[in-house]
Amino acid sequence: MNNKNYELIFENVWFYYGNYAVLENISFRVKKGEFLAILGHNGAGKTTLMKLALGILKPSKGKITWLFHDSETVEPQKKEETKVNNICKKISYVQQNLSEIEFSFPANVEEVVLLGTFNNSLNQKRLLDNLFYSKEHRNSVDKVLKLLKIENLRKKLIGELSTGQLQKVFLAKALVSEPEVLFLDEPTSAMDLQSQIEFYSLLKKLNEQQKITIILISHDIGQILNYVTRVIVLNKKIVFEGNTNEFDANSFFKLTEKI
Amino acid sequence: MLIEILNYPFFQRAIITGLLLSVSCAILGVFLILRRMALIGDGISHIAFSGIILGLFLNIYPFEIAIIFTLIFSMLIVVIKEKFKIKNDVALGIVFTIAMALGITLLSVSENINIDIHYFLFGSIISVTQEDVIYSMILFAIVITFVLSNYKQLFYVCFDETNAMISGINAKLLNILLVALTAILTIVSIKIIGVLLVSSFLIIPAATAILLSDSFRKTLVYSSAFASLAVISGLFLSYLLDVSSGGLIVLMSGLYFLITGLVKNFVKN
Repeated sequence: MNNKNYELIFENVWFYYGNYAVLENISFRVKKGEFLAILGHNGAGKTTLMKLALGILKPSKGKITWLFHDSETVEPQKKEETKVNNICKKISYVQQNLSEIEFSFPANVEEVVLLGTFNNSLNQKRLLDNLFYSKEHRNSVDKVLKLLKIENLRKKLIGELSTGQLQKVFLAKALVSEPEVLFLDEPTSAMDLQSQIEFYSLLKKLNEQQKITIILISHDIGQILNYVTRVIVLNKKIVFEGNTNEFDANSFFKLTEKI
Repeated sequence: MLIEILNYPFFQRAIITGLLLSVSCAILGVFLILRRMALIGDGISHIAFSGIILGLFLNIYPFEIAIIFTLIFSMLIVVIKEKFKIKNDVALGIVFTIAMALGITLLSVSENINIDIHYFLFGSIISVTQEDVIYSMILFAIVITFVLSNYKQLFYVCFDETNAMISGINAKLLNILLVALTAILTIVSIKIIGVLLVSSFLIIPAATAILLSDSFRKTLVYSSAFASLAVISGLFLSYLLDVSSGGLIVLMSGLYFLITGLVKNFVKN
């Protein structure tokens, strides 16, 4: 699958909550292997845009397509009807609010990372398949924990972890299924500077060495620009799109002034 | 003396039914607590109370009518939450009080309902029939099959609903099945433990297990173990002390929770 090219295409996408337009006429493309940052202030529509790409929300107008170059086209908003498995095998998502996760949740790191191997279409062959994980899945977990250098946390309860550790666990969960595209929603918002640098370096390595396409959204331009290759600034509409070296960080606040 | 009581058929039925229902509730309870729906059992038990009154009012298939009534109103909790985008606890508060109001209104206009309210409020272990034992066995089998065949899905939806949905899990359907099973379990459990205490079956053993456990799998096992322990010790004590079995089962459950919490804090410090 890694040899095939693909693109995520937004064409004139609008999204309304009631009568209020959250996104206006959004068009862009993301190609395989990109490390893209979608920036904007809180309420600029970043998370909505990501949910649209993931097929969790449906656009009010316009079209979102995953185009695979063996001419297989998947529209995320039509996932349920046809190609759900094609998409979910390729995409992983690390959510914004880790605080939404119940910290007293009685699950250890290994159990959480194993969740990432879950694919609804591949299960339920036998009752036991749904109760236990295969050796192959456990090996994938070993590999990814080693990659992120968190093997020592394997049996720790998630409630006992620091924010930085927890974010790595969620990254491990996202990576364990060997995705082609990784979506991250404000992944470093609760991290200190050192953890942020470490985290972005790790993403850069994944992007360069494992050729994973990374789409990251953030309201904070702090460290991101040192790592990503392309930037989209969102303020309900796309107000800037270009390579990182074309982006003037000083213009960010002007671009993102509330409309 | 304690062994002697085991020879009584009513006590055997009580132990078997108590264990089957409490373990079923304890397992579902883990998922409900983690879905932040801990109090749904409390709401459903109140709905069930009105369901029973409606069943008695209509005087045909009272048990079946009560189940249907409870299922419909329990589903309303899910539907209202989704459609009106309100929180679980608000939807629960609205639906169960309306259902209760219906029951109370029916009770006040009807002259032919002649029930002992005490019996429904506190339950009665002596009243467990052979039919109840069979119902409990069927329910236990359904709950175990449901959880085993959807273990990963339930775990995923409780932990992280968004990603679970991206993985192709039908979170809404799972939610509905979870609430429906809870509703049926609640009605059947009312007989043994009563309307007021039935939600404790769903909450206390699961909460105790969450305090103690270091993995999700163990939480389900511990929750079942605490529920069984509470039922067995509660029933034997109620025989020895000659007091209400429902009350004692819940008190024992609470005691295990307290001890577990204190021991955990002590070890931590």
